[in-house]
Amino acid sequence: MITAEKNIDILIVEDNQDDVFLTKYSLKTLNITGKIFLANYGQNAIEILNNLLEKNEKLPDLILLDMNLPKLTGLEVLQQIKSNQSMYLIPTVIFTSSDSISDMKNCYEHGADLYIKKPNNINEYKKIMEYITRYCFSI
Amino acid sequence: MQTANLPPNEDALYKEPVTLLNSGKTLKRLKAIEDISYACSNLFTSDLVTVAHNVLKPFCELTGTDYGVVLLLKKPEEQIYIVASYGFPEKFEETYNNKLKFTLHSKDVSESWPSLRSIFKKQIILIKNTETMNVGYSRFFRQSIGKNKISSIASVPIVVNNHSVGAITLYFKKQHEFDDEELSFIKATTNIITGTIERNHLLEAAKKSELELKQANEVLKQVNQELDSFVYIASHDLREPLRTIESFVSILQAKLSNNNDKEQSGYFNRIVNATQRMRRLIQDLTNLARASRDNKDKEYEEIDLNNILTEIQFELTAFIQSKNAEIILPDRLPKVMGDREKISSVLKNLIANGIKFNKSKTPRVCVSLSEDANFDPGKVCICVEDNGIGIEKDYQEKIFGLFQRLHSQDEYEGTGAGLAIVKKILEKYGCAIWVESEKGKGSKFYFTLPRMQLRKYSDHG
Repeated sequence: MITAEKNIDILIVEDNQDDVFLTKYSLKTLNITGKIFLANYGQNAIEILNNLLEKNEKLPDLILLDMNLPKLTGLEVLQQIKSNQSMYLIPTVIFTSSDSISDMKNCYEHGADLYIKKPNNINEYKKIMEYITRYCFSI
Repeated sequence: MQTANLPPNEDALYKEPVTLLNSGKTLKRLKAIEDISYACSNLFTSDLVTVAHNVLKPFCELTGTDYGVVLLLKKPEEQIYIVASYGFPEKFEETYNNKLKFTLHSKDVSESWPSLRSIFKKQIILIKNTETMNVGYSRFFRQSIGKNKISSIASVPIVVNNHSVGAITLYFKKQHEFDDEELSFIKATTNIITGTIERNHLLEAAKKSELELKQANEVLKQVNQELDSFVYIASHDLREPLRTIESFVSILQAKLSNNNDKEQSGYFNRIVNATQRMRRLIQDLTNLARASRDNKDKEYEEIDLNNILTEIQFELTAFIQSKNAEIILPDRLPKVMGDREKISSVLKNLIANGIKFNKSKTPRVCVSLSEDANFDPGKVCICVEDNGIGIEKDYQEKIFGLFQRLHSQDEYEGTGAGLAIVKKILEKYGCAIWVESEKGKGSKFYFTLPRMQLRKYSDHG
């Protein structure tokens, strides 16, 4: 078994604070450390990334992107990231409550690296976080 | 000479012509009737004015009438309106209708006017000699005929639904003897006009109700669509807070399991079960709303049912094995049309139900093609038969209602939305579902699907 990388910088694009809490909680119990960038709005996420690029700082290792965001939608954020020369290589995981097949298809067509449905309990949450943090270095 | 004074006789037209003169006259009249009928049959939907014009002229010419009018009572004031006239000077109609504007119950008109007499009495009025009776005319009428004198008059009311709606009145300068043929002829002509009016009424009513129905249908359709999107959005949004509750409960539960407090963990189990049940209910609501949501490009795909059934059998493998069940699939089913995913969920639902509601040691579900000459040839009828617990007659309609359950949660789990979703999907394709069952003797669910239309390509051949 590949040992999970423990030091990972993550950009969480999520407007639901409960999900932010559960994500952080899962990462903490998994002993995954690293910087966590938070964006409540899609626009914030783009700004954070542009800011890091300007300052020539390290970009996050992983982006967790919700679909259902106010104003700029998750899909639009995804399109912007994947059409940007300096950002498109960051593994972008769509993390959403939608289980519609057409949503999933749409995300993959726009360059999502992974599409995961939000789970209903903390154990599944942890499993998913463990999987995607390991996954982000295998691309 | 002809015999006059005979009462109107229906058979008059069919009597053998007695003399050459008579036979010539009868032929001429028959020809006129033919002309009139032809004029009317060509005017099936047309307005009455044209019909009246086309009928009045040949009629007057044939009977030797000097002046003729077709009057109609125009609602709402019941204005006496001339729709067609014969023999009068130019602009007679225009002045009469637009300047004088007589109405039926006003002081300006008199019951002694022959047309009004027939309208009020709803009877044919025949006046052979105007000098022997009290006959009145409007001043305008007198002016219009100038120095001429009227000797004979015939006025026939136009009666629709037992109401006089107008009259045809004929004026003769010379004294006129009305014979049987003429009377029959007058009646026949009136009938043609009456028929046209009735037909127009019916057509108008039909058009109106058709329009109303169309509008009501549009409104209903829109409301339905709004309701469906409401259910879809609401059920989708309900899932979010529920997911949060479930997640945090699961954290608490994990923490409490260390305490080993049986009472507390019991309560938590109840919360967890309730949230799970709620999630299933919301999921079913979403599925139901999704069943009727439009997905235009996928609505009429070609579907191979055999293919779908094999897939379902594979998907249900674990369930089938755990119940020691058996699924019997038919060799060959005709191709159908629809949204593959939705049609698949119909079959999966029915097959899974057959295994689930089953107390037999070896639950068996058999899918077959049901053939009957009475079925719509554009549809394929499929039967899903099981050897399960069956359904009592009283509940056979109820089971297709939303969240309708016949058993407690301990007996058979589920939300009771499955068959409602199935029905809704099928209805979208104009297809039906029904059940034949008896308690304890298994159930046969029949449903139809649109047959793949092969003729589409050979229509021109």
